[in-house]
Amino acid sequence: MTNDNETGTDIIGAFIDGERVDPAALKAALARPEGRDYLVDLLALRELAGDVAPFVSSAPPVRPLIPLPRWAAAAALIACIGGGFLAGTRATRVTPAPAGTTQVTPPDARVRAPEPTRVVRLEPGVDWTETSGGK
Amino acid sequence: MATADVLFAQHREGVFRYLCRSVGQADTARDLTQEVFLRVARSPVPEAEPPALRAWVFKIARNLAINHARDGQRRPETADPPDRSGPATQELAAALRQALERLPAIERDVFLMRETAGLSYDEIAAACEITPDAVRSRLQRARGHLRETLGGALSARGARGVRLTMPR
Repeated sequence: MTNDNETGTDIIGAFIDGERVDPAALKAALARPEGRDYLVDLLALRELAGDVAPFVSSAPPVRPLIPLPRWAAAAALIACIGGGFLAGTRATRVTPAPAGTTQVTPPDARVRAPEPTRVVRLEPGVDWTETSGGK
Repeated sequence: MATADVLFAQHREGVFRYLCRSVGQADTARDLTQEVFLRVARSPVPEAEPPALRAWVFKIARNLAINHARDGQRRPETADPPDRSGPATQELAAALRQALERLPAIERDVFLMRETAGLSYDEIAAACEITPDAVRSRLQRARGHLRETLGGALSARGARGVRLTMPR
């Protein structure tokens, strides 16, 4: 209950706020034209203040996770293992030389050395002596 | 015990409406609303009754709104919160925004928590750290100032028809 010292506008405000008020005081407040005007204004003010569009989150909607069926999970696993095996096999295979390249051969098989024009003969004991040891 | 998810589901609309009117811009209010519930999710939710939990959520929202205003990120020249009504009411909504800006911060918060989110006097008292009697007097004062500022425009809106609703 509100006390008797409250003004009529207090009573009307408390009444529209769902508070328990003194019925005699409420009747008295509403008996006056200004009290009735006040009531109508408060209701209009409430309607105006609460007239806001609903909340819409600015965050992207979260898509719920759909559980994968077991057969699909198994198929995905097999595909991954098979794909990995094939990729590994291809990476380690010796590849032949691509077409259009020339085979490299040793130079002596390709060009013959010219015949000697002068032969120098060296005789042991005349042109050099053989000794033992490192001197 | 309520989880952060439950609190988000229960209070996101109220928090958003409160922040929309408090910061004056829907995009900012949306970001702040998300920030409120991020903080709720990161904090241990107190073991308390639903009214106390609601007050706790709105206390976080109020602190964020205060920080936002203090950091000078407030842009009152930009678009108003997205009202659902026609142009005439949008003009009145713009007038409401200006009138709210002229209120002392505590009166504005008390009024908005009551009228946009439907908090009880006790919940507002807990969220704003004042007594329920102070809530009653601040609310009364805020309503008086707003009524005085909006004047005939408010009466014109009332003349189109009113109904007794409880803010949610």
